[in-house]
Amino acid sequence: MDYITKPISRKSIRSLARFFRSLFDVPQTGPFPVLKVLEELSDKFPKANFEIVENKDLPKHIPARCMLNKDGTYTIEIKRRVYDGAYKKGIGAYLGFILHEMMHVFMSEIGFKPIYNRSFKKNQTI
Amino acid sequence: MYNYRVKKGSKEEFMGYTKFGEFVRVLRVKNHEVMGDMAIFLDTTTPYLSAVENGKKNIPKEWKDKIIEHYNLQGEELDALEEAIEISKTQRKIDLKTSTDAQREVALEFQRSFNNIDAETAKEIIKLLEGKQNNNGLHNKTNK
Repeated sequence: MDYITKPISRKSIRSLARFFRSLFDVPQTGPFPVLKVLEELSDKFPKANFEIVENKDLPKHIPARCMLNKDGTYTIEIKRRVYDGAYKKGIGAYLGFILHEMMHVFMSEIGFKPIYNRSFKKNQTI
Repeated sequence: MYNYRVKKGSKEEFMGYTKFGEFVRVLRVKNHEVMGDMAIFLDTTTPYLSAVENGKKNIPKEWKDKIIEHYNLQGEELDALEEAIEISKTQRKIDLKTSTDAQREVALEFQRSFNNIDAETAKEIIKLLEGKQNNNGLHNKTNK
């Protein structure tokens, strides 16, 4: 792991999940409307926006990512095949990738700032 | 809302939503649609639509009528769309054929320093030019 943040209990995480749903007027039970909330994200978090990019514009192993910009804003970049797969086919994994990136914005804004902390493998030196 | 960033290790700079991007995003939210829906009726791809909304590509001319028809825009909303399109253009041309040397020099200097203009300086320039326009109006009225 290259990043760490402050610890939080599972109970608190579940509370945050309920809060996140209420923030976007999503019922506490049932599927979470990921793409609908993605559209509304900048209404609640004005520092965030998203971009759908061509598949080649992100590394092969990265389906989506949340970039922290120099001015403190966030840009969520999502591969075309991930967004289109989530939109046209409702692929759960792809919806999960997108939601994961939105969570970076949410958690960072409520104080869980990721701190770079490089870990070393056994016998690894700089 | 405009956000600028510098990509790590690169000279590229990016912006957030343009006025047009924000306008159509709000339209989608109001009409319970997502980007995929809009890409379909605009007959485009999601990356292309996203690039336009983020100011990386020009707004295709045919999109205006499609958006007006799809959302049945009228009155203030129609005016807002036109204004958003105008403000969000990625390029502007200035015809210098009939310009004086002084005007050409201003245009050249403006072009050279454009990327270094911050928000505060931009406001001052706009204020200066708007004041100049107003003064010209008063001057003309006095001469009459």
